[in-house]
Amino acid sequence: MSTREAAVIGIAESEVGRLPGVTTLDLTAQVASAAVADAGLDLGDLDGLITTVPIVGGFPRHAVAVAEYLGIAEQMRHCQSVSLGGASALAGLVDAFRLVRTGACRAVMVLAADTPRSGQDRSASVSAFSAMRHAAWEQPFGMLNASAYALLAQAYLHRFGLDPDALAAIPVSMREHAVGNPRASYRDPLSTSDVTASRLVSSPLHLLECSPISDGAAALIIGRAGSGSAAGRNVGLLSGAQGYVYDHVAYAGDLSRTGCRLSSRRAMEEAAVGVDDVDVALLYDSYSITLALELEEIGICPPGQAPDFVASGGISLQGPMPTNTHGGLLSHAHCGYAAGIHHITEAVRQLTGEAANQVAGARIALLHAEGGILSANCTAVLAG
Amino acid sequence: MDAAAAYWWEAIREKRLLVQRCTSCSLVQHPPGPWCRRCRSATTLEWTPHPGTGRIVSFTEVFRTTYPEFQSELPYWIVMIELAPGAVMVSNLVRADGEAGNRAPRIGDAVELAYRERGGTTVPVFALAEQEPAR
Repeated sequence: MSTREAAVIGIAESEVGRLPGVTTLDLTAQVASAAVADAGLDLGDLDGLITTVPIVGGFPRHAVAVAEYLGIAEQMRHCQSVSLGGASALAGLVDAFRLVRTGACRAVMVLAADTPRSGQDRSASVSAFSAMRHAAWEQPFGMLNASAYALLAQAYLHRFGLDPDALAAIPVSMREHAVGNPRASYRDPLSTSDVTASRLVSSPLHLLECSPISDGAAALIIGRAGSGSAAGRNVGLLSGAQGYVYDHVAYAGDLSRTGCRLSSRRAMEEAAVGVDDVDVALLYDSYSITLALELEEIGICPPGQAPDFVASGGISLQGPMPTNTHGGLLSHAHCGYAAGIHHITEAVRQLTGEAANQVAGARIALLHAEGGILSANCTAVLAG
Repeated sequence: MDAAAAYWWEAIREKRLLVQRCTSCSLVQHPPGPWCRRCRSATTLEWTPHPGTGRIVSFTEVFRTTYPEFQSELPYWIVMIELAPGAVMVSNLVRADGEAGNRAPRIGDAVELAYRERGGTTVPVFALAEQEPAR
């Protein structure tokens, strides 16, 4: 289907964490300008814009409002606001490649920025997350996002007869990566006993198994392969696919399978890539259980073995599948509805040999992002 | 909300638990909808009374909440109850009336329907069944 080769030719990230006094639009301008510069372009070269829709500072037609704000509206042949929760940035990246490959656009910016930590009262951001639960079938029973993940976690632990604290190894592994990444928000070493000693949010999930809310942004430029700057960023997309089983856990019925299984199988078949071919994985880790289920549904480890696989170094830098080498959402940052875009910038860095925790010779990166409660799933394979 | 949700909640106000049963493919489904989500037949879906017995397929105990009407109930249990194969309902687990302290739930536990008034409306909740068979 591709008539033109496309590539990620530029990336930029803002600081992440608590950024008081900086708005979503401020971050938007900052990363937009830096990303086109990284690509060796200027804003006038863009003819496509794909944005996620932020929790704070969003507009009804967000991508159009961002194009207007950046002064690039008239040249846009394509504006798209993606509303797939945490899967938005990765799904937007896949769409950007399609636009460039078909010739519909020459250069597309994928941009995600949000300020849920500082842009509004923290309780307002937490309330915004609970308002995402179904009005008829979840909210009347006090369902929170964390509780919905907790229901998946409890069913998972029971299905495989695992210890209630088994998932604590996952945030510990993310923290080990963050310790080595100056860009990460949380860099103090963490032990499994720290995790299990943190308060229960919604059993069996402890506070340190839930990613903390941050401010932050990033942008990517997708253009013709080889058209970038002398920096030479030229990261290709081998495949991208979506997968869905349910949107709300109230409709899930069977808690043992999610759309990750579908999207990852579709993407890996399309790329003709198996787990053994993957050098580095960037997998959405909103909660400990999220990463455990993804590792198993993708087939990186057998069902029921994610906690042991992680505890024995399976996703560490020296392990068989280095995963979330930047520290993940759990320790790098979860920037609201920009979450997930830093998994992509980290993948690009790994494939261009610039990561803080570089996997030697990384050529193939597997990315998975999910929105909701593993509801919207997108998997992509990038190649350096 | 849709027409099916409105009908279901109206029945709950009359303390009747309904599920939709498809007479074509025999699926029992919850939440209800405009047609059978398995065979997509709209003409063969029947509202059927449910006895309110089921089993816990997952549970969580919530320690902090953003819902004002739940602040006084903290900590509270959210459960997923299998009403029939494929028909799972989100609800709350409450203590049976008059009992001082039920034990923590386990997956597979049998439960029975009860009703509570919350936020000016009737909500269906569940309590652990009193006669739990030996296991």
